[in-house]
Amino acid sequence: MKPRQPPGYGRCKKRCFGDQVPNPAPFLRGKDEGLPRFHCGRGGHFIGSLGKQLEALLEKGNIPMQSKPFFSNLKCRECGRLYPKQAIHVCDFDFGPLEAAYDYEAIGRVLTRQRIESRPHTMWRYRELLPIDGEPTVGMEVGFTPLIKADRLAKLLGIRELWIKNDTVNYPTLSFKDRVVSVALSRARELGFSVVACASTGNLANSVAANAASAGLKSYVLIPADLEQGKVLGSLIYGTQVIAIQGAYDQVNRLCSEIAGKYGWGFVNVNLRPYYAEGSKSMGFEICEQLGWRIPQHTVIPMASGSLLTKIHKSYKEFAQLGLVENTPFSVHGTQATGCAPISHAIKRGTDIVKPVSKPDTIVKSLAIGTPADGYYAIHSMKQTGGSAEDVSDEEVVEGIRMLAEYAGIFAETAGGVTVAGARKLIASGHIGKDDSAVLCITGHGLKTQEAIIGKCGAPRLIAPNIREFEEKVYAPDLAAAAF
Amino acid sequence: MAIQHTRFWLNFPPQLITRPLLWELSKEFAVVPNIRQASVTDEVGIVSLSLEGEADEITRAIAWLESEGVKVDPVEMNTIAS
Repeated sequence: MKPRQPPGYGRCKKRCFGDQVPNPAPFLRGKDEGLPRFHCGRGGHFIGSLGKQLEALLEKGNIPMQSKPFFSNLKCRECGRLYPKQAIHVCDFDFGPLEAAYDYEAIGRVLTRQRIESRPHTMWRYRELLPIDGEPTVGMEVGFTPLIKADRLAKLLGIRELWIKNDTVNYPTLSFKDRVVSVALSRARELGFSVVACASTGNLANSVAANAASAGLKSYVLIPADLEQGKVLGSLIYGTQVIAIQGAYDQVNRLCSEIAGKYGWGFVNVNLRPYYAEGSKSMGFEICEQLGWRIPQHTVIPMASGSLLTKIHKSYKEFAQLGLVENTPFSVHGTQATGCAPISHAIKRGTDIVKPVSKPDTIVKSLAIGTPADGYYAIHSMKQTGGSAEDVSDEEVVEGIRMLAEYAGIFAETAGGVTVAGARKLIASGHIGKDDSAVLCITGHGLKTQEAIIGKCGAPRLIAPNIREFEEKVYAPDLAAAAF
Repeated sequence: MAIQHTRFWLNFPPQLITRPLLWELSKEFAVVPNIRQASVTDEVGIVSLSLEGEADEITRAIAWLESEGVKVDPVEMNTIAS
């Protein structure tokens, strides 16, 4: 005999579960808790008259975020197995990485260009496509950094049109890591964590420390003991607990993994990684919107783990799938420093097997990941889109930093130099057409890696405090030089 | 001491690809290796491995693998980001 339905249950109009409603509807959590159940549990499937009212409100966009079940599951990127939306990061079956999965059908019903444009200029204007259940609570001001048309740099690099996505001015810590951290910490709060942590040698540590301080979360930052003092200060200032671990890099790496699994902390790039990584998509969404709702022909992206490249690829696909942009052909290209270029070298060898680099040797510390977790997926993103990869020497990195500063007015950290110098090579080799349009992703501010360029960008001209000396040593020589 | 499960990615260099290292590991140490995924080419062997055993024994087993030339990473690969 069929069990009787509890009061408030009805037949789903979409008939996806027949007349059974197996789970409490997601709509009934948060502020709507206690209302009659009128939803079958799937995105956009409503039951009864109250359901119809809700559907109408959704169409108008007047429903609070916590009511919308857009972020549906975690999913293994290898085997596709689904997992609950918890603080887990690898598939139990094959150890494949988990990533966020969404109900695109439901998102497609509510997310329009007009809707997005009506929202504040932050990364959260695309919140339906980010993996949190409710409203963001950490880093509400992050993102929507400038996309700058760089005509002088375009001419120098030999390309028709060039844009710079400038995350050197991201808020609050001047790097794209603020995007991923704001998602990870917002989700950490939803999952009930009161302590958050990361293992980092730079930008991530700064961002976790700053955003956790702002949100009132206790934070731990684990670092190798031999890290430069300047980088440690950038985290200590926010009052975070900085733990310096002695030992070889591999030992420190494994200890961090063990700590992440043992103490119930929200480790942003370990057990919160599926949420954290998705924050990178916002960079791609912004690029499309700022280009006038189109996908760029070419996007050049620096690679450490390779995650940013895969997520920008995903963001373009999502926007196209949702009809927010036309599904035009595009290529994503990756750049690395030659002293640690496992992904670029794999692409050049024509394989998807990433050979680890045991001892990275480059000034580009922020990209020096010898065993890139997303390397395999980054290679496939590049292959799928007809993209390519390049790597550049440390000298070329410095040149790239200078080109970006002198021809676009942007002071980037070493990863920015990798992107610019790598783009120049990709254009010269024809992987990016000279008549095409490209976006360069610049991910962090140059003030963070000043040591890389000290002594390599000239020195001030010294003069005595009188006008005669100025005219003799500055004005006259410059006038003569200009004449030629 | 409590038994624990630990998950790793192992990278075998070309010269070790044909050697039955995991069999040797199970003979040498009181751990249970469980392969969950593997990819082997002429250039490299990549194995996702679960090890079950006492914490100290797992630590010793990893140290031995590394001393033989295998690169051992936690399942996250790099927990230390930039």
